[in-house]
Amino acid sequence: MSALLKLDHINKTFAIKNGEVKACRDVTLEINAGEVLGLVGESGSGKSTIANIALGLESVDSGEILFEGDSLKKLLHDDPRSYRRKVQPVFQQPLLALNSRRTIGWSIQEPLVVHGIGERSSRKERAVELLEQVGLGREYFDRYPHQMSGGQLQRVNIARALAVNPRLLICDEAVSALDVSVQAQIINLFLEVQQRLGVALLFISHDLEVVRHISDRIAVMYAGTICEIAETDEIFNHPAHPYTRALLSASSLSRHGASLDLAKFRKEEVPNEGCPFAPRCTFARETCSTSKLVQEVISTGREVSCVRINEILEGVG
Amino acid sequence: MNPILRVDSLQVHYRGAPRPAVADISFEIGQSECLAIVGESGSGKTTTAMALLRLLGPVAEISANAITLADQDFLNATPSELRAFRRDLIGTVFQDPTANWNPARTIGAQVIQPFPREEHEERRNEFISYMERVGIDRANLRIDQYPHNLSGGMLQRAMIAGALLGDPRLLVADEPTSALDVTVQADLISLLKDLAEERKLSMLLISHNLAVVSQIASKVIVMYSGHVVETGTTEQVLNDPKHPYTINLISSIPSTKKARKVPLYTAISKGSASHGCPYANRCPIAIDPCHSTMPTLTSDISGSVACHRHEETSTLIEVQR
Repeated sequence: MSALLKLDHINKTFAIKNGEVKACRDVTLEINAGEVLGLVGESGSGKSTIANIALGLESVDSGEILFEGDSLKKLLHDDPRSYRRKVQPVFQQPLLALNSRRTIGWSIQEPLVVHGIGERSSRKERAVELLEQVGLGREYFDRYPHQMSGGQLQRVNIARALAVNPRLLICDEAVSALDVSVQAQIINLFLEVQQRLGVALLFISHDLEVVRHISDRIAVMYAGTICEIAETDEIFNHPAHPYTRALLSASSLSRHGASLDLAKFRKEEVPNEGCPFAPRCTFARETCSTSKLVQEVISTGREVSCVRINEILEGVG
Repeated sequence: MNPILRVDSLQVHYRGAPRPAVADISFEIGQSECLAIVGESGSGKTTTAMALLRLLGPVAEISANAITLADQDFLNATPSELRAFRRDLIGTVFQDPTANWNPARTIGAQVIQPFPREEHEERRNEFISYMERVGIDRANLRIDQYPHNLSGGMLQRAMIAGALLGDPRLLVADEPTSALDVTVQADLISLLKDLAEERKLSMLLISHNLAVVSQIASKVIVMYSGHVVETGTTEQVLNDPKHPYTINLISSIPSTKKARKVPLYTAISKGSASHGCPYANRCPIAIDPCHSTMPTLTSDISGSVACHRHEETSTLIEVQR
């Protein structure tokens, strides 16, 4: 299977007041057609930068992005709309993502108008159909965003994204702002959309349980690097990278009663050379901060960026 | 020992709303104890907290038999007494970290403002040390920054640090960890547990994150549509829930033990009943009396539950973990 979207050795640096932040360090990532790729990592790890790059909203310093084998740069240059029709976003704050002065029906028709799809009457029909597809009825057509709950609004945003029949949805913390019972409904809707329409999802979240539930594969990010990518069950049952291990134990500890050593998990300054996780890593040696970090395939379907991964897996510690 | 906080039969009614936002809730929190209120949005958990802090203003009508905190009467206090109580006795962590800071003032200035001028130097240093404890690096620089200079997670942590100033007796925390990453969340939970011990700090935790609740709370109240549907020790409520709503709430959370990619349990709301149990229309095991008669809270040694079928729920619905 060839990748639907491929980020190939992407680098992206943002300038800030006294220096720079490396949001992506040599990131390589593939999303296959119809799959759900989960992307987890703490805040500031570069998850949203990847979402913006994939949406074509952010340029890259170096590296290449391929969509169905074609260069994104070329696609956006030749016909930006056709790319945007294939890749659609669902954002975190459902209310902020909609125009508060327009009705729901108008908002759902907007992408159809922008992309010149259908006639006035058929657009309205399509909008109603989309509303029903996401579990809302015709009666929501004339409502305004402030008349609806967060969960209903997120359904509207999903309907809006689906309006142009995309191949890929970029969901950046799309269920994080919702409370548990509503969250469950929206997760179910994403699963249904993926399975019924065959849309691929890049599902970004800091909630490991949510990502586990929905994803076929998971990529774990730390300070701009992809630490590890593997099948969901592999990540959860046999985490390889030290950061993945730390992340999973932090999440299960917060569930099962033991407390963590505060100092150990305090975020240190991220080094610019070598492995960014080295200062917090229990397996770190001198070589970690001097060697160049490479994202490599260590077994079928699993990629890891760690200089000492072979020693760690052999249990040398 | 006397409880720190005692709320007796609190009711809150927003003007113009068809039904009360909170219909009769009573609870007590002892020293160093943490009570959690859980429930979905609109269940009245935040309203309960804001009402007992008397922060709701004229849009809400509050009635209660008593609200006392550290032997002070919150119900009949004058506005200036209330301000002093809030400053000296309570630390508050509000839900949305970005909306609860004044964007035009530095975070240090906002946190220190309520205290008398002669204490400012001391409070400033105290704030810096708490900021370091909640994991904000370079706190001595951060204190003079504006809210837009900090990330959402940092603002939430700064709010927690600010709430701890002046040694409050009670911390009211409304979703204190929802915007934070798991690693930070784990840190914060252990910090709050330490403080409860060290400072004899009691806590009212409002959350829908049951993992966090199970970590710090010793007692739990489950609310649905303004009503208390179940109370008990955390272990009791989370491990052996009696009310169908509690069972379904636990079932709707994604967890490592559940099969992946299968739909999560949800109950679609069909509007709430005007008489009878507020949950009846969503309840999988509702029977006739549920739609006509309001169940009352029935207590036993382990807790209390408001359900007509509470004796049989555990045999009728299975908890999906």
